[in-house]
Amino acid sequence: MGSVVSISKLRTWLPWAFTSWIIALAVLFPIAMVVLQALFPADNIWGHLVETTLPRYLESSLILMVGVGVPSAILGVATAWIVTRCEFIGRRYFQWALLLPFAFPSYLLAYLYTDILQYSGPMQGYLRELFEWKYKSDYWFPEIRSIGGAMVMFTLTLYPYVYLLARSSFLEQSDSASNLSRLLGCSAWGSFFRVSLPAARPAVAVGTSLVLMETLNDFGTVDFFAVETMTTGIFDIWLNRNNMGGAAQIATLLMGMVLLLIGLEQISRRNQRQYQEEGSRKKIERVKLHGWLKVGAMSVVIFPVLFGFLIPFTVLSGYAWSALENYWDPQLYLYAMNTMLVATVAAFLTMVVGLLVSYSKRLQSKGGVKLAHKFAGIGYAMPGAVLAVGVVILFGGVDRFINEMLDKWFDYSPGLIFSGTLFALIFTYVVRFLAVATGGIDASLSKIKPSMDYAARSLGESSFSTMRKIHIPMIRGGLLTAALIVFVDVMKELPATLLLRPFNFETLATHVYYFASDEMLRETSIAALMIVLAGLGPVILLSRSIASSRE
Amino acid sequence: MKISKIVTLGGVAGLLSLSSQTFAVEEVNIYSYRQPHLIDPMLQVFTNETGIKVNTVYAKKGMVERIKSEGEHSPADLALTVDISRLAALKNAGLLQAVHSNTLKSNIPTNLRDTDNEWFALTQRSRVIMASKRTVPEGAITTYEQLSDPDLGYKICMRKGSNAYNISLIASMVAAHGRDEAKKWLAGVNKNLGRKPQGNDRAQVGGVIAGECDLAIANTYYFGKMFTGNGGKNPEQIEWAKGVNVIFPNQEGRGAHINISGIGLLKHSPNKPNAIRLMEWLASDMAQYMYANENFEFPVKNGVPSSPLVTKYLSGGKFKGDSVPLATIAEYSKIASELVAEVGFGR
Amino acid sequence: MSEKNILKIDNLSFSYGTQKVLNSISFDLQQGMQASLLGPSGCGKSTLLNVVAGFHEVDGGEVWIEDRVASSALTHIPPEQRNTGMIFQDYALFPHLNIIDNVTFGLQSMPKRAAKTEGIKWLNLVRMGEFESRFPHELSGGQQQRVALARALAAKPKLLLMDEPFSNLDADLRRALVREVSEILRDTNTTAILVTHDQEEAFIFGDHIGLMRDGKMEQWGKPAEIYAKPVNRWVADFVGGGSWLKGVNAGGSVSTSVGSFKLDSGCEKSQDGNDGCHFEVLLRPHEIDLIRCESASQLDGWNGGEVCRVVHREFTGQETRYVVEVSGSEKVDVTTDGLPTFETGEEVKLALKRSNPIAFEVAA
Repeated sequence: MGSVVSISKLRTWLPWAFTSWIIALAVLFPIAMVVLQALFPADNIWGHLVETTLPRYLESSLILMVGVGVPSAILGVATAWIVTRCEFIGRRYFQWALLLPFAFPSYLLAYLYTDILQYSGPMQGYLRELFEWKYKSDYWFPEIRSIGGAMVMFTLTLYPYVYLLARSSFLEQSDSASNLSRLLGCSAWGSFFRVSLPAARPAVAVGTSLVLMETLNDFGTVDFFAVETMTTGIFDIWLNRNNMGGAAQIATLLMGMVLLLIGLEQISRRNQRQYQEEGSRKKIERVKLHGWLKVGAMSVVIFPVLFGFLIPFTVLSGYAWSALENYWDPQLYLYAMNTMLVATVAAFLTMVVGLLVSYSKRLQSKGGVKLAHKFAGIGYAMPGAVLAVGVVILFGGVDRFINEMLDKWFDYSPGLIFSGTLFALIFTYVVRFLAVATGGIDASLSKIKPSMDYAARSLGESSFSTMRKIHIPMIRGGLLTAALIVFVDVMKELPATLLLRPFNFETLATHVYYFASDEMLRETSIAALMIVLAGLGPVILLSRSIASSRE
Repeated sequence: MKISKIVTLGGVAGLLSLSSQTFAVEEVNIYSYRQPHLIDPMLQVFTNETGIKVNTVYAKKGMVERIKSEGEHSPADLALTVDISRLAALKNAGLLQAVHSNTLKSNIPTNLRDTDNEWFALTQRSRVIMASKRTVPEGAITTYEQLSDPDLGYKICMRKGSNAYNISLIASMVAAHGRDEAKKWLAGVNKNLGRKPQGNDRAQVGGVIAGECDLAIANTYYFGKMFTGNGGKNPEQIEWAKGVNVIFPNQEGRGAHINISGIGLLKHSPNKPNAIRLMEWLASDMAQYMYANENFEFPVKNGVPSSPLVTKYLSGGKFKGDSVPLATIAEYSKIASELVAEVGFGR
Repeated sequence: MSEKNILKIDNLSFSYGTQKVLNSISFDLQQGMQASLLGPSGCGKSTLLNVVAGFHEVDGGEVWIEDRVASSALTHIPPEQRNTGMIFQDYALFPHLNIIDNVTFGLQSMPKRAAKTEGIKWLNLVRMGEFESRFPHELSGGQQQRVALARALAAKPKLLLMDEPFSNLDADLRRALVREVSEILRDTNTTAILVTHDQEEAFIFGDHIGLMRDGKMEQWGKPAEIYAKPVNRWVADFVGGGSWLKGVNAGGSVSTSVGSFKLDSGCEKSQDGNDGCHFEVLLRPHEIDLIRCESASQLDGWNGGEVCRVVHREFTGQETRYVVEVSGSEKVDVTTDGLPTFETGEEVKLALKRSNPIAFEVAA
């Protein structure tokens, strides 16, 4: 019986399975292009790579992962715990200020701190003057352009991922659990380690894995700091050795590592599936801090805000102010408009596509919808530049095919349709950041009980109109958040933008990159400041939306 | 949903209309490895003179893949690069076409263009040693080979090994001494580095001035840029230029390493006449003069004078240059990249 | 039987993956009838409801709604085309819509004004008329469930499915609401199924009761039938419960430690006729009276049991529950109205109000 195809049964799941798979394939195709390059390279240097540089790339990538993942997780959890459970002056400000470093792309922070801390920078200059040192050999000063420096840059800009998720987890935790444990004799610390932290573990795991993925895929920072990671290796082999195949092989390995990371994160959460009480609306009781404890807690929250935002922001603003005279360029308006255009369109489309994927998964398990959902998120595992190459190859092929067909049948050749267009660029953004959107949307959807769907369906709404009338309004906040994160990500994105943009199309990020990578940070400080400011709005909005849930 | 559908469709249609299909008629499209702020002023002059609009995409990454995949429908006419190995790579990938132009042939010497006329050098520059006036006595350093001496006694500042200029320099060492000797040389230089490779060529001189190093490896034109305070934008760099001596190495031997910036006509160029016109213009007296006076590069066209600054401080470009063919440098650049990786340069 | 079938379920089965959740279920329900599905949690009763509503596709068997097949191995009518209404334990009011918009949600085909009038009519019926512009989170649980009822009924479903609708409410409110909802449904001639694990609720509500266990329908029948004639010991225990005593058939009646009874059924499991087979006999706590030993002989119809002893006593404020030990080993629960009249340790005799109790033959 089961093998008989039934139209009326197909109708219930096929449209959703079809939608998910179309999206999944759109994500998989450009990645497949890269993997194909890796499997069938024109000039195979895999053996050479394994013998020479690959171990080094792997080593620094792994060191970087540990050196960023651990401090980010600790910093994120500690700050989240302090602002949700302790009371001190300025707590309300800190809970959104802690997200501010999000607005800085890692590479921009790297440019700024290098400018401040390098040998010829103001910091060391001042110290030399103060202590009357003359030369480099007279004293020791940490080298900012090093793997250690990169760890600090990444931690400062990426810990907000952990903070954001840990904080909402702490907010959602019912007071009763931790109060109960305190009645049972746990100290405040004991209840943190034995109740609150384990309950927040899934959130911390997700946040940390996001941090690690961003770290693994970064190019701008490690390139500037001359740290030899997998990504710099990819570019070195691809561009300096003209070996696309070798680059694709490392890219595939890198993707494998990221997928492994995702897998581990999911395994760690498997035993943790627990339904939280529906957001208890009670106010959280906070511990008032005194004495050294207060000083300690406040330093912990001040540190990342100060070094991750206030100092670099002040320095950058100073540069921008003094640059206004010499380097103000009316073109900047255009670049800002371009940036807004692509980021807005990409954020909106990513949100819509993400919603379709997430909702399909909620609705259906048939037709491999779950697998399609997983595949749809895989673009986040690819470094932007490698993904962009996949897109270039893919659309080049599609364009050639269309032209050949039209030429054959209608004797008409329209030229390039997708290649070198904003469509290709935005397509890449959607593929790259889809996982960011689906992650948030999945979480929002999971908070809606199935009875909501059932109620609407039994009142005569189809699955699609149920999404429109019930789910979309109910997860409006989650959708907005997803779109905002994608917006900020797109705005900061560099390698894919460099590679895919059409003629004469500059964004703020590409503009900053030209100059800053050539040590002309001051010249480009106005554009850099614009990136930070544009990212700031969404970040604050984001922060306030979670804050309002329980304040 | 209707509204959002319309918005989506409208957005997609808008994006498509913004595509490469909608250019004006008289134009030429460049894929450039060269940073726009270096060439835009010249292209502006070209447009003013001819009325031909010049569109550029600047990218260091993935250019070859993009051109390849766009194939015969590629909107790009010209590829502009800052070193020989990328021109050679484009040629080897079959992405260039020959240009038979009498202007180009007469303006550009034979050794500075491709034997098949697929690429043409537009400027020359030498990769030289800039030594601290304070710590390095004149005449102490005369060759590249000295840089690997374990008893050198001087620290070297140099940008990343994988940088195209360095690759080209290393390739010239391979050409002169063979792979193994070149590897030993590179390893020796690595030991003499004063700091981790970082920044552009000017930053190396900055390192020398700050006292981190004694010797900087840099392209000649950067000296001019610094000496003029980068057109007033970086006045502090004037002091940098004044603090170093420019050493043209190996004047008693094969000569200083020379590289080029150059241009090639892409195979499927849709605006071929305009593209050739731009190529010819870039080889003209006017453009060559601008290259010489605004970028402080050595013009390729005979009879175009160097800038006064170059004449005064860079021996007017009349030094002994390495005569190894550019094609050989391009050929060895792959080995050079491997050496950088094998030595672990900068670690 | 002149009324037509609204729902007919025939040999229905359903699995989650490899786990069989519903197994050969069959029953039907006529226009205007109300049924309760009763069973312990995890017995599949809610799943059955969801299958009827069309949220799950079946493996085998058929679900008919009125005169068309809604679910079978080959067919699946999507939930929105089944014209069934649904009410949930968590009320499932749409939090972003106010009360009147919730109630008119299923009336999209009507003109707006007519829908509103209709919605108000239903809100008034559930006595929630004055709350039309409030939002769900401003209402109490009981109020929300009334609104949910109005919302479901406003769409004029052929069949109303209620999934533990009262279990989140406190006991008093629950009892009142069950009665009220039941009346509204009768007044509107609505066919309905109530899923519950609460026996009292199921009995108050249902014209028919289905008892479910492990995905199977153990018994389907009228409430009195279920109570008086349970088909097996599990049903008897689940509905009403009581104490089980061992008995042996001798000469057409079963003798137990508290006396012997006439039975409707004879020995079936035993091979040698009606004698010597074993029974388990159910004594419902309310069907027994305690009497003092000295007055036992004066009672009619009592054929004499052994002396028993009260071993435990508790008073609930309404009734008194005793545990009585019979002949040293078997214990019997007895519930009497009002205040306790016997002391713990006191010797008593049992008086049965029913002459032929429920009994099942067991293997020896």
